[in-house]
Amino acid sequence: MRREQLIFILLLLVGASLLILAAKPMVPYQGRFPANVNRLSFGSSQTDDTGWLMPANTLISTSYVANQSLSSFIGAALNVYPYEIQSGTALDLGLYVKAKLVATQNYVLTGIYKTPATILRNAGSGLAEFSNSTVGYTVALLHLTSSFPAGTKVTVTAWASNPVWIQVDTLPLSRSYELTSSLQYTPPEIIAPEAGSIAPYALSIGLESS
Amino acid sequence: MRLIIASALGLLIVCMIFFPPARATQWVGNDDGEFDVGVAPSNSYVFLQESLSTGMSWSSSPPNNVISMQYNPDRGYSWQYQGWEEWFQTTTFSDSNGCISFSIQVYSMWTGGLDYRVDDPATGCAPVSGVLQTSAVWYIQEDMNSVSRISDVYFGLTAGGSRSHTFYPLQNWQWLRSNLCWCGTNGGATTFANAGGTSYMGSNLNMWAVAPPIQIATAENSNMPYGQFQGSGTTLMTQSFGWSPPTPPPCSGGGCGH
Repeated sequence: MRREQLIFILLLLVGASLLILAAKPMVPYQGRFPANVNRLSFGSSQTDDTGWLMPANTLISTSYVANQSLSSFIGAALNVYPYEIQSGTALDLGLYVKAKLVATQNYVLTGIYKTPATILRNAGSGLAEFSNSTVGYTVALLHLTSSFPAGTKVTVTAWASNPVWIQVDTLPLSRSYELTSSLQYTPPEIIAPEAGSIAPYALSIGLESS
Repeated sequence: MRLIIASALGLLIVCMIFFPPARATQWVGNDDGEFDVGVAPSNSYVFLQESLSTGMSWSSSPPNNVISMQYNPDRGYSWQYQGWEEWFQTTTFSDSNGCISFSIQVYSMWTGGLDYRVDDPATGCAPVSGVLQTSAVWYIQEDMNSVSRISDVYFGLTAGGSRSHTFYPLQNWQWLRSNLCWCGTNGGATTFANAGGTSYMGSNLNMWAVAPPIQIATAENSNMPYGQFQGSGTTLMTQSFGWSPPTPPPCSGGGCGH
């Protein structure tokens, strides 16, 4: 091998090593991790225990606009009341950023819960007030390599194979929309957030980022 | 003689390397020892139940006057075994009025940054009456799926009022030997004025008291004292926390009896 070739290979190796070192710190974080009360939340702020019996086989979308830039992760949670849930019910969630599908999560509900909810009061118009017991099903996009700016619209879709009681937002900043009626969950790759008909109630969707 | 001294020194060095240091002092704050189930737990659960035998109050808890019950995995084990080298923490928060929230927080052990969190409520807190009073029960249970990943986390509070919530996070994280921390929040340290009760650590697997962590992961601390573990090697371990309730004043001046 000629001397010039050897130097070229060495330079290539050094360059590649520098790039790797720059991309990822080689020393683990030595500090401690805080249990922070404060969080970057931009979804529903619902704390009332009001539920709506979400119909089966209907894709429902709810959108929120981020009030700060979103980095590291985007997580959503949909609260279900563990009340008379039929075993084997499929619950499927979709997460969209700027109308594009970025994550899905599929659950099969067992119908068995440590603390089943009870209906405290029938609130009429398909609503009921429940005891303080909820189950939060989540969908998330983790390890973001770049952040999204404030003003980014995030949409969450929910679909269930049987009716389930979902926590609703009684003081909503956003509406929910019934998009399609389908016996199978088929999340569209691109969503028109305000398409479809306005759902009777806005689903309570917790959205968090950092 | 030299050979004996050299051998003794060698043995000492080996012991220091392979055996974690034992603590003679009582455990306090963010270090109450650790509990383990010995194997990668699949289709199983491990819970922490805190039963208050006396009311809980604190004189300070900077920066926001909120305290936390933390269920914290071991830092070294998280670094070694957790995918993405992450630290998975579950926490119940309460302010002095018993306004509570439940939280899962996941941190990168490379950068210290927050990789994920989910909270209930998503914003603020929800009042639950009596959670800081005698007989209140704070409960966190982590359930594992068939491949030892945490499938769901159940949070419960039972007092005058009650509240429970189960999170189904992404099944990215596995259960690792853990400990309890009655602590502050946001990196702060709580000075408890009054607290006492029993911690129960339970599972469908046998649990073991193991050596305390070499390096603490949580940023919070407190003055909460903990007793020794009882029941190691069974499915239910116990440990006392806090201080005994004050003894009533002795009878004097005919103020007692009839």
